[in-house]
Amino acid sequence: MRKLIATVFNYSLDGLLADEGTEFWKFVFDLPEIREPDDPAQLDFLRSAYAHIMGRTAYESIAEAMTTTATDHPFADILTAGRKVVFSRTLKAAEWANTTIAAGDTAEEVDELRQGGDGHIVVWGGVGLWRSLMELDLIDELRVSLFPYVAGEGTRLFDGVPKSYRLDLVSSTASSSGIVELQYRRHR
Amino acid sequence: MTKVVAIMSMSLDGYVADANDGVDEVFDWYFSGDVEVATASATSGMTFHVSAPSADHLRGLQAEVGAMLTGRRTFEAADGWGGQHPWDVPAFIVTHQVPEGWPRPGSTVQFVTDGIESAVARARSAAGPKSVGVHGAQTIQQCVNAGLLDEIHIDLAAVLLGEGVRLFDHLANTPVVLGDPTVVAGVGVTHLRYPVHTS
Repeated sequence: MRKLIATVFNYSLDGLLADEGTEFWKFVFDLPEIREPDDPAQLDFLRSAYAHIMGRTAYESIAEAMTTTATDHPFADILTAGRKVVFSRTLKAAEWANTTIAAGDTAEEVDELRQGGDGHIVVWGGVGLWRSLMELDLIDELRVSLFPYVAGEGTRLFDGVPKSYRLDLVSSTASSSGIVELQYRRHR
Repeated sequence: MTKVVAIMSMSLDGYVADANDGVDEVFDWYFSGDVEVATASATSGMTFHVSAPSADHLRGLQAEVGAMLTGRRTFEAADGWGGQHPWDVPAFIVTHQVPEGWPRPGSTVQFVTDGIESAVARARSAAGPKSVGVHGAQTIQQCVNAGLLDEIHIDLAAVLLGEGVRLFDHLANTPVVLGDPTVVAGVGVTHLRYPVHTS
């Protein structure tokens, strides 16, 4: 069965996401390695994914960036070529190549994606899809990029997670610019 | 130069205790390995069982700290450590009022009632060339707000709590930009140590 791997790209030490327009957002995207991610392992991780899943808002903003304003971004070709699934009950049509719309029950749609092979599915967010998947306890692995930053404002990603959600630490690695790459597996 | 270092175990989502003030989840790593680490005090000492990297890290931290600074809540939760902090260093408690029956004769636990700056100053002089360890969410917040911290040391526990007591709450001046951390990977815990940029 395929694993669901949730990626959290911009996470502060106080548990907040970098929301657009905040100081934290500016801090994150002023770093060259965030603007132009070129770590081969990360690119391979994305390229080898069976599918990329997103909520509607995340899908629309990523689609717009990767097909119009940031076509030279290192993720653009990978994501355009990759299988994408948008979780939405309202979206009627998706223009970006290789996209399907999952409008049914979230658990059933995810289950269908997971069956029939190994490998991994990347969960991009946004926060709504994230929280649904956490509540359903469908996330197998978390990859968090922890920034050396106490943000004070932003979206509290893990609000409302099921109580005492235990994880196994797989690895924690110091990266450039004080970023710590954390990898956790859901303890089952 | 004496450093002032916040020391705290925290969940990945930023909590140092659960909604019932419980710390079992964030302290789980103290009991998840097979290397014994005993704390220094003969009377209030504890023995932990941690992984090898965590053991090295804990021993280093204990050797480094020459005085502890905590709040009243930590003091109460620990029953005053029987009058002697487990790390066998003088402990300074920031409080409005000295609790009844304290200070006790022969105890190295002392009380500071005239504010955080004074408490840090007293702990500093007791620590001598060693570091001052600051423990407790509220006390750490006061130190951050007063610009008194040199480093933040977090034992990042592999658990999400969803609610509870937040470490980085009630901060006056956010964002706080930290320096590059040192990273030690243990079992179920990542030991992170960040320099605090004071500007």
